[in-house]
Amino acid sequence: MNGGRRHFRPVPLVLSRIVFFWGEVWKCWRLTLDWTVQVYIAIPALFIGANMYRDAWLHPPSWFAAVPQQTVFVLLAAAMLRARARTFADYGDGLFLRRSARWTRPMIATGLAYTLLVRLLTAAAVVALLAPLLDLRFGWDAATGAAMAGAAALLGYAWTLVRDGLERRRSGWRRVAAVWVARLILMAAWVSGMTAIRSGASFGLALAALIAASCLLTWLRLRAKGTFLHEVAAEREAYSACVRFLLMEAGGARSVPRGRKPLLSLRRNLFRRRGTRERIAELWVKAKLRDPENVQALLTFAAIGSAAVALPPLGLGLAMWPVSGLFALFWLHGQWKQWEGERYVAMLPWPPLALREAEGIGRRALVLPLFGLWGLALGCKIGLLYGGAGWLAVPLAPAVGWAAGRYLDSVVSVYLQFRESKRKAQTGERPSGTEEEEARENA
Amino acid sequence: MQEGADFRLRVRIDEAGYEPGKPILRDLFFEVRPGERLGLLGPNGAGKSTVMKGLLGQLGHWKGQIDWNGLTEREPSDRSEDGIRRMAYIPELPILYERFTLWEHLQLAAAAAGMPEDRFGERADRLLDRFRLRKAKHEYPVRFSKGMQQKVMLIAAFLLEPDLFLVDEPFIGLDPGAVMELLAALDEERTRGASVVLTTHVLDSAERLCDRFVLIHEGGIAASGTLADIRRAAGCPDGTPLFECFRVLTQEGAERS
Repeated sequence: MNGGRRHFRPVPLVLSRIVFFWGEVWKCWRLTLDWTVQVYIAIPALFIGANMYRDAWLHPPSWFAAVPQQTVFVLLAAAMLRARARTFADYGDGLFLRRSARWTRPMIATGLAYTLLVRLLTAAAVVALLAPLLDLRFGWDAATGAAMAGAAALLGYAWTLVRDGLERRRSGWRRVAAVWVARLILMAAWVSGMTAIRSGASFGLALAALIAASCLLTWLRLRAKGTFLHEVAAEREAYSACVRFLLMEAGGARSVPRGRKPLLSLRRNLFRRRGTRERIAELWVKAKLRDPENVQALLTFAAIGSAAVALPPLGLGLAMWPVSGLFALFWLHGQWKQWEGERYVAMLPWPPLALREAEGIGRRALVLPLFGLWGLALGCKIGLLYGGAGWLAVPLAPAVGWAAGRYLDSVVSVYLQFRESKRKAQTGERPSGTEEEEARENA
Repeated sequence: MQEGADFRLRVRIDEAGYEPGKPILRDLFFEVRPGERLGLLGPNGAGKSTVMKGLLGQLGHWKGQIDWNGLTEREPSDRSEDGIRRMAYIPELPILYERFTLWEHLQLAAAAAGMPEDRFGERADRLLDRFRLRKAKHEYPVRFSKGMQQKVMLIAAFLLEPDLFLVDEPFIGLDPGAVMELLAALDEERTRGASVVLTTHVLDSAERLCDRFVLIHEGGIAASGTLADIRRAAGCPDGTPLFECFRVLTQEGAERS
């Protein structure tokens, strides 16, 4: 009983929420990290990673010499400027707890202390990972590394409070723009500031400035009023960010748009033909282009695919072209299926085969530009390798990529139809009317 | 009930529920005529929304028969595409997709129903004006208030011009202006011949809005018919409001059980 009373005070309450939060995140990750993933992927990856790290200490690679010190500052800042201020606010707090400053301030202060601690741990982890480079290339000792990690952690902490303030005051595209501008300004200030530091005294001054800024921002944040709903939304975002990768295909982590209107309005028609299938596909493509996570995934496909086709020798690059395409096609199929399962989409009365045909149109609209881009990357590689007539590959390869993409997409469509029919046969599900007719015709 | 009368929907539920062997509804029968508004009334937990789900083919346990314009359906979960399209469901809680604007929600509904784009544009604009949502046409409905979200559901249903509307608690979350618009829109649909089955707790509105009533109590029918029939069943004199009849009938049911 007494233990329960002790627990129901601001600081223990927030601490218990921190434990609960990580427990929930771990439960989610545990679904993926089953023993097969641990044995076949996680442990080998750790083993390989540890060996590479050891090798970097024992036999420093030649590219170490070409790395400028700014790279270290950029990497540190990149790790720090992703975070957000945590308060572990819960929607239910609005009923009683958050009406009293006796609860509000200690709860927020505990959340901010947690934010700073996590920034410190993250900065220390980045410095530890970069240790071979820092020691062998730049001659940093442990004290320098620790001081740099501390400074980076303060930068990260100050950033979380700046971001918090901006997100509370702005909405829609202005919020996104303000956060990015602030991020870039802080990044530039950090990199140029750290590059300019030549002595221990100037580093001390910079550290003192960061501490003063952090204290001022903390004081202002603790005095801020009307922040509760923003804190609840930020907590939801923080949880979503931790599990989004795992639940991407399951639709379990929903990300609600922040603004009233889409940043990308896309009001014009994307397809010239205006049949039912094209109209459905168009709406799907628009929805996907508005979802930042999907855009991020498409850009990742674009970047990784371009790097893969640029791999030497030329044959390997050529082989990576369809492989990258297959990955993208199956990922887009997963995205479509997830969309089809959305409650609003699922409740509509769909004509037979409309969704399947629309999927093909939508998938091609997103994947063919990728095939073209990878073709362009391959064309440039051929041009650089062979010169002269080899540069003809620059306009030709994207065209070939476009045609190859269409062909691969048709192959994937046939395979997906076959898999779907097999699944329905196994589960005893009745094929839809038109599917039945098609099957009869084929027979 | 008049046998052989011109009806749009005739429903007979012998047994129905969410799980096999655990029926919630028993021995229910009602019919809806073209242009008619039927109110499914009843206290909380009586089974009104379960009837709706049964009509939509969403129940795990179903023994009964639905006659739809003279065509018999034994299994509502295996309805023909045409049958699905002729029935619009307006849920109690709005169902929306996060990444679609209001206009795109309507565009998708129209595309699913095979409505040509020019006809869609004209009809959707008219409905947006009627429900005063034109200004929010290119905004995300997930950011709307509950009432505005409910209006999106109404517009999506009216857009498709179905033969039958299944409306679950239509007055929850709507402001008085929107309720008036909803009633006016339903009147227009009635002149087209569309029927409405609605569930509600707002008995005053139901009394003004519905032609006939089915009072569901503990999974069965406590009374059905016009307001005069309901008054007779409750033993109330002429002029007694539906609210009072409802109280008498549900109290009697509770005392009997």
